[in-house]
Amino acid sequence: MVLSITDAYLQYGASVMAVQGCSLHVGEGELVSLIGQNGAGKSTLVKAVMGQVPLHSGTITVDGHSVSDRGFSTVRKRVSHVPEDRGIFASLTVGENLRLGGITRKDKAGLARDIERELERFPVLRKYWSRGASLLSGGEQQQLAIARALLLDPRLLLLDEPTLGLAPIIVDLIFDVVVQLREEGMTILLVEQNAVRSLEVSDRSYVLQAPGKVLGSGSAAELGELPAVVEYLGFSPAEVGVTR
Amino acid sequence: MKKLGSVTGVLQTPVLLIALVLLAALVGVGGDVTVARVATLAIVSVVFVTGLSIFSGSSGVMSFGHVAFMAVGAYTTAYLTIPVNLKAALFTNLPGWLSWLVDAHASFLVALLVSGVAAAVLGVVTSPIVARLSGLQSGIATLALLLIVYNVLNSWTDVTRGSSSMIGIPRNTTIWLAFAVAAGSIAAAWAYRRSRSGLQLQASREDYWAAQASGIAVGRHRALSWILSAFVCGLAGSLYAGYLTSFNVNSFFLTATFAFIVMIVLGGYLSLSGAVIGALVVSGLQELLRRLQDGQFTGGSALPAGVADLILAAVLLLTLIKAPLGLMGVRELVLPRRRRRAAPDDDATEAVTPAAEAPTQAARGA
Amino acid sequence: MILEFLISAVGLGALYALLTIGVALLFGVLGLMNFAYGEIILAGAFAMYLFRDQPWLVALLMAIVFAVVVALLSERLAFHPLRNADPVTLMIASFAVSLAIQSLARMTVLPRTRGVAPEDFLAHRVDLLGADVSVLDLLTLALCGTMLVAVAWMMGRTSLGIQLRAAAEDFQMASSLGVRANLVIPSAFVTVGVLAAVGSAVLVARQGAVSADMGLQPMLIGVVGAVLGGMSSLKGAALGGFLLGAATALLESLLPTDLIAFRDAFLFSALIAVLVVRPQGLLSGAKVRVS
Repeated sequence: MVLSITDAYLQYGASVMAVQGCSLHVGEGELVSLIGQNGAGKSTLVKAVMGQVPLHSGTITVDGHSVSDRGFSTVRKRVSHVPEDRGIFASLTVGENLRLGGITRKDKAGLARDIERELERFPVLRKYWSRGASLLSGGEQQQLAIARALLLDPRLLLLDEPTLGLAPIIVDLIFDVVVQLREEGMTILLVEQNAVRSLEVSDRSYVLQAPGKVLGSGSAAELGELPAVVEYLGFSPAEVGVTR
Repeated sequence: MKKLGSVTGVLQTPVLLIALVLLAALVGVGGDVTVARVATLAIVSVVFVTGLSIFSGSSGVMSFGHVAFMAVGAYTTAYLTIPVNLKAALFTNLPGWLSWLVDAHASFLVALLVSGVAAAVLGVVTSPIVARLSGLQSGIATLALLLIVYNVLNSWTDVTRGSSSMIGIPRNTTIWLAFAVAAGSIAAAWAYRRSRSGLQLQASREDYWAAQASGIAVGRHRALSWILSAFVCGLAGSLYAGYLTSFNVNSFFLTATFAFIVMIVLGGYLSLSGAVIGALVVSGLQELLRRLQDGQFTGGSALPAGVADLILAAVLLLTLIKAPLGLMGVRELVLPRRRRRAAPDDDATEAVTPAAEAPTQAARGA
Repeated sequence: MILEFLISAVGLGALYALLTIGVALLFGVLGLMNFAYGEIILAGAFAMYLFRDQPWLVALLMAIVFAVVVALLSERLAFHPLRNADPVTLMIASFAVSLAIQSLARMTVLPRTRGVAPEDFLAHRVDLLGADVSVLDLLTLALCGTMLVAVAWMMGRTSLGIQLRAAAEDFQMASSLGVRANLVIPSAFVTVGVLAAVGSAVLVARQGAVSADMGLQPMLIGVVGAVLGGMSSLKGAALGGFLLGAATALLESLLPTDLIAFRDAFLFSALIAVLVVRPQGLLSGAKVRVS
């Protein structure tokens, strides 16, 4: 199990317990999505994996190491996070942003190879290599953020709302990349509001309801069997043509 | 929010604080000349820090510029109380439009009031700044205000005597007058805290934008508390001038600012009790340190100048690191409940002021 | 005449830019408006005084050592324990650090102002393209200009520079990419120490004296320049400092003498106006980190 969250309680801000007793896991090479409305606690969970939200109780482990352990920082180096706001450094160039992605890596040759691979995957980044990142469009910034996260050579990739606010054609492109990464064997936790699209691409999904309650989990077909999930989503996956 | 309870409940804190100041005054009256001097200046510090607390305590915004109001109060008192013939000798180059200053004269009580008003006028002029700025920007802007006032006082030699001392101010500040002003200031500060404006301002401390969104005109309340606190700090300046009989522009610069910051931070800048207790405690500490530096505890061998400041700085740093909210935090001084030693938690919740919360969260921002 | 003025104005601009970067760098990385910056300069200046009989370059090197040590010590003892504190708390803490170092200096080595006789070579004037230029002005320009180029190179071309700029923009994101706070923050303080030392060497040469409170003016210049230029961007801050210096040189040669005394009042009024009207700085288009 790459990521395993057990009965996690997470406090967000001064007083709100945003996640109350959530359990989920992501296996090696799996693409798992978190589906749920705004405020369901999805982003809070992802931030907790990054250690940005303190764990009130329960456990979160990556490769068996708990995030609250002292030595966890070495493990976290293998977890890449693409936050909702993309976290692009606007005052740096595209190239500098990418170099930061591999800042912790020792194998410079491997890093150069990986940079080349990501530039193949996202040609627009090669085109704008020495341009200020603030000049990129939203979609281009998202591609930069994903490429940068991959340069860490991660065990686990956390994608938080990667298609939020993007044009439909870019949304297609991002989902294509996600599928491509799944095929390359990357372990991914995807947070999405676009339930239909994420059910389509994911191996399994968790449907989350505030405050961080798992309403149901499984493949799209399995979720379709759960009345509570169908009612919450407002549709049955099979009805909208999701057959995975 | 606690309903306004019995009158004794509401008035407990200010009465206790005034009693504390009274204690300091009695110590001063009973002691020798040095003790009387320390006690009087400590009470003047209480007036100043109480004034500062009217603004900072309610708004959660720290000000580094209040000493400017104190300076305005002190200079006003000097202009109004120095004997006219001495003034004519001191200010020979007054510009024509200010020549009336030579003949202006008032009794000390009137001068005291006018000093407060003069500081409040500067407060009115500068209130748009604090109405619009928070956090660090407000800190820098208020410091800039101090630097401007200092620069003008230091350079406008014809009117302010520049870096030469103001001399010949009759000594009118008695320890009882200082006590009376301190008591009045504490009462006013408490009344402001319990007023509608004060309560709304404290609500904005937690979350500026939420308060703004729920219809609280944060800027207006901030401006009001700023002007009121300027008035009180002007009174402190007047008492200061009327006690020392001479002062220099350097009395109203960074050293003084730093000393007052130590007082309010050590006591707890969100609590009025913290401000008052901090002023008294640090005044006492300063006197101890002065004696230490003079060699009174080391067998007469004086320590190098600067030891006192160094220790004061260390105290401030330790406070910031170990207890950023000071001795009092957000609590106010109250009598112990009927059970002699109430559980600390219970005590804390009872003593907490409305809308109390961790201000650091609010100040932290982005 | 014009060339002479230009060299002096550009030199002062470069000095102010240097001072401003020292303030803006720590503000960007830590959210720290460092009022103890002046005392880091003081440390450098004290070394210039202590080694005044050594060759000037040796004194400069020692100034760098002194300033870097003081900068790192202040980080370790005061700012490290406050790493998660809000900017206002940090600013108050830096006040305390500033007073502590000043008191230490007063207690031990600088109870009063000490004269530092200017190096002989600085007193010379040289003929440059027909203009009579003082070596001091040339040195100010050359030294500060070199430092600015060096800082620009480090920030733009080295891995450390990229990490510093990233941390200055978004500390949390930078650390989630693996930029280490324990590398970046001390590096920032070391950089500030070097900048302060070079600044102090120039200041000592210009003032011919060292005193415990000499750090106040340069620190305030740094703060004003940083606010004018926009505190979140180093480039903006450097430009803000440069324009401030150039404008000061211009004002000092144009303003009537009795108004020069009020220069600070004008400067700080402008500062307040910028804070109220345009908090992101005059020169920056970016959003500033508010409070």
